[in-house]
Amino acid sequence: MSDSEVVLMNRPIDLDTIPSIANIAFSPLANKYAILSVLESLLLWIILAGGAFLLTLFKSVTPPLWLYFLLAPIFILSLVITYLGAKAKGYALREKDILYKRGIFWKTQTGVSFKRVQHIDLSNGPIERYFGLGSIKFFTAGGSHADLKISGLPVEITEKLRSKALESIEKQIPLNKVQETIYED
Amino acid sequence: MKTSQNVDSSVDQSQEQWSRLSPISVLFFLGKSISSILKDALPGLAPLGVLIFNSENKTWVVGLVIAGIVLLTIVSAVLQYLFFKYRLQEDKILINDGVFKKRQRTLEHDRIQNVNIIQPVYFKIFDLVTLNLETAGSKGNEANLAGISRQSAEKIKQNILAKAPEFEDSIVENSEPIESASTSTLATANLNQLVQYGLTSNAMFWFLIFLAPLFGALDDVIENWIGDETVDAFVNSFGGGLKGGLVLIAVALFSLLFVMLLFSITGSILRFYKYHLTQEKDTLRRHSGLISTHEESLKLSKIQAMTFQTNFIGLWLKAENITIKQASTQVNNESSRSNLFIIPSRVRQESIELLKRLLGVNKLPDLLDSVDRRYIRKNTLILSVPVFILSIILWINSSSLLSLLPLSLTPLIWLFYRQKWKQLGYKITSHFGFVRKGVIGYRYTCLPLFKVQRVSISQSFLQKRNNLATLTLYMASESITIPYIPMRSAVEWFDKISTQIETRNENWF
Repeated sequence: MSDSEVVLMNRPIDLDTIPSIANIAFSPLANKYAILSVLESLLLWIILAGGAFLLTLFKSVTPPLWLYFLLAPIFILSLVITYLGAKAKGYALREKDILYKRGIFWKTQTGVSFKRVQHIDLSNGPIERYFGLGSIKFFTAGGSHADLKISGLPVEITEKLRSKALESIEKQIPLNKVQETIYED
Repeated sequence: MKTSQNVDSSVDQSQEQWSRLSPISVLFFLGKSISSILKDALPGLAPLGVLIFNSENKTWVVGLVIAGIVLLTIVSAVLQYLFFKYRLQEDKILINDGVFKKRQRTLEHDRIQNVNIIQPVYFKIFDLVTLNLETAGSKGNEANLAGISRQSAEKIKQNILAKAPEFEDSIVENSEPIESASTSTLATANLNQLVQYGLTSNAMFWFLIFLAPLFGALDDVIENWIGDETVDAFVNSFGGGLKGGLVLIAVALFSLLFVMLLFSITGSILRFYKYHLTQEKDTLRRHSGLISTHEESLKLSKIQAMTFQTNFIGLWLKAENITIKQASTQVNNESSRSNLFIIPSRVRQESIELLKRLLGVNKLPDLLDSVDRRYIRKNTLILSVPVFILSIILWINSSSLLSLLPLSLTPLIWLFYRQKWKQLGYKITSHFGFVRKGVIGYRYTCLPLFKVQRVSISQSFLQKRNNLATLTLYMASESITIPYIPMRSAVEWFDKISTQIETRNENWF
């Protein structure tokens, strides 16, 4: 590497001019998403309860009464936490990147720069479709851990986000083209 | 574009069709089959060994088993060769292979991460090489063209390197292989340094992984081959009783460590004999190997991070090993060692020189920031929970004082995490991040901030109260977690990385 490049790499940066994520206003996800999450969680409980019911039917085991008392609060708590968890999620679109936060007790903030996005997926499952919601997933090169997925957005918004992201990606130097090819079949 | 046309015309026209590898490449597939048997089927072979051991007609069964395995290997190698076809195109290579499960691969030149030329010992006589191509992208990111001539391998390689768009014009000069005036040697390693690498890399633990399938059969081995009497005799020769037993265990452990180190040193010499790292313009080349010669090349722009690593022996020898991290699809998978560009056994000053040259880091920070002490407390508490539960269960069952014994683990856990805390350090400058981790040895990573793919900041309930956070940097080569740092430092990292990503117009690979 030539000396000129080494010098180039050390341009000083004024700390005060760096935009900060410390005070960003996040937009919440769609209102319906909280309801959807609770429904999904309910569905899981129904499947579990159905399984347990079948078990008692065929194996003729009667679960002890205390089990109900133990499970009831867990059931209610899980629904409440699911609801609050959905409400706690949010995203913020900036000019150069997208931020995502989640968590009630363990809060996590994640950011992906559009410059690092390899490709974008939109998806929605049957229940999501019923509510008019969808998910958007930003793939980066850091492996599956490094992908950012935001669920529970109105489909129009996911589409807008995608076109906004693609727009930002296209503005970049041509090297950073969005790759859609995958090598294996 | 004009440049790449030139390079293309130098590739044979005949290569526009599907072609087969040289028949000698059967040897390569044979090697592949054997290594896959060793890797995947060895645990399966252990019971087979027991079967052989227990059978009446040993020679006959052994003969049958060996004949079966040999036949299977040869047939599978020949089939793999017959079904392997490749086709060179202007900007990509197509490979069709697979006997039962067909695979069609398209390797686009500008997506190829790494081009390696390997000459295994069985190709030396025929002067053939294996061209190994690594791509970024989905899983199974590797393709081998085995048993092609060195000239065509070099040609393909030049052709691929020419496709990296940012350096198009420099390629014409590059097409003269190696030994040009612009080549400079960055590092070599003598035998002494190779031995040091064997001692200081953690390659010795690979020996244990290699042995692991055999551990199950250990009982049988001791019982049948060594015999209880022999063990007893050893115990007695060390003084008998409990003391003799302990001495025997200690002796056995030390012998194991010794064998492991020997194994590691041998591996190091086999891999890095005549180690030669050169730089030619923007390309790094590594050349090494005792029995099989490996030649790997890597564009400087593809380096994601550099790591200095050493263990307790290295601390004492003052030697560390440098790993140049490249993008890999198997993030966090240490077993993808072939992906690693290693520079064995350097002293710190040499490491800094290399860092300066390859990444443009002017100097290492004098002092790293340490993480919050609550890191020790939290981890000790969490790991102590099972210990407490164990103690309580034991107490309920026996109510003897012995049931409190597991509790003595807690101070040890605390000491362990205190040691880890002491080693943990981080620092951010305007363009680079530095992270040190370790227990007794260390792993010191230096990364250009703009190579980071994604950043995440997490805060648990308790961390939030103390204004602490855990920062995770997801890179194309690995992910790095820095726990228990002040929230404002985490935000500083996040902001500086964002700024670097936006202001640096180089591609990250």
